[in-house]
Amino acid sequence: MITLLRKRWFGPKLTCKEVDAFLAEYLEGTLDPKIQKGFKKHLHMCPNCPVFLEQYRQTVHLLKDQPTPKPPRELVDHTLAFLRKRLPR
Amino acid sequence: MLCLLPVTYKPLKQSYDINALRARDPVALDQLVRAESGRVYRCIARLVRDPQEAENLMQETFLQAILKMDTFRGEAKLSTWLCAIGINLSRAWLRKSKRYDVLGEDEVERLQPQYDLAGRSTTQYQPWNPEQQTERNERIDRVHQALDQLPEDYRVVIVLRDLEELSTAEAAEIIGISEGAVRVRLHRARQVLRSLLNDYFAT
Repeated sequence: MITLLRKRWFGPKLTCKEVDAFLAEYLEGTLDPKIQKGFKKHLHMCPNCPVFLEQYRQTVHLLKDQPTPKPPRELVDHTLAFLRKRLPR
Repeated sequence: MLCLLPVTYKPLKQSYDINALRARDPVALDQLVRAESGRVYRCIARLVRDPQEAENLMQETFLQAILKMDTFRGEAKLSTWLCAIGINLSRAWLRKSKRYDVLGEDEVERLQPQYDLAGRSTTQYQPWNPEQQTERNERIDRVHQALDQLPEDYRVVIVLRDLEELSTAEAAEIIGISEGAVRVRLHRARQVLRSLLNDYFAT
């Protein structure tokens, strides 16, 4: 009974491993609200997981900061010429 | 059997006459290539990281798509189908070229976060400060070096989800796996990259 009340009030008690499993959803804002309480509580209590979460978030940010490959200006014309040459009539 | 009924497919902005594409109508081909080449090129270029080869593979992608247009049933978006062909050609090229020294699956496993039997982390993590420690060009290079080490399956999912920012559903359709499998693979790939980048950025 006390466990159920604790879970309802504070959320489930999560381990570091479980926090890792929910990381991506947490960063996307899609984490189940019932799990979010326990997730945030773990971050508050564990000295390691907040640093780990931040590294994970920065990894994704560094990926999104990659430059976008720019297609060559003649790409469309070259491709159409290639198709005209290679497609059987 | 060739479908003779009008088949049109409407993506967000474009509508393609599939029958005209099957008939290799020049106007239809022109429309398709103009509308889709940018995105297909980007997906391929991010994977193979060679602009000339990306162009070659992109041309081959459109050729394969036109030659196989009879098999396109319209359940997926045409752009998704094109990307799938492009990704498969790129993967074949990567395997053949063996250009990058990629990690084995046992190393991918080793680079995942480790836990004891109680689920507690066994690693002490140090904060990063990449913007303060390095210039942007160096950060870009470091990320490229880390990406180059990823096995193909993981690299593809990073390209589609984190670089091209496609949805999980679309990435799943392109790769040909379930959405759940995309999420697992993406998470594992990000963990590997985090671990590799930690060597550069940990203070």
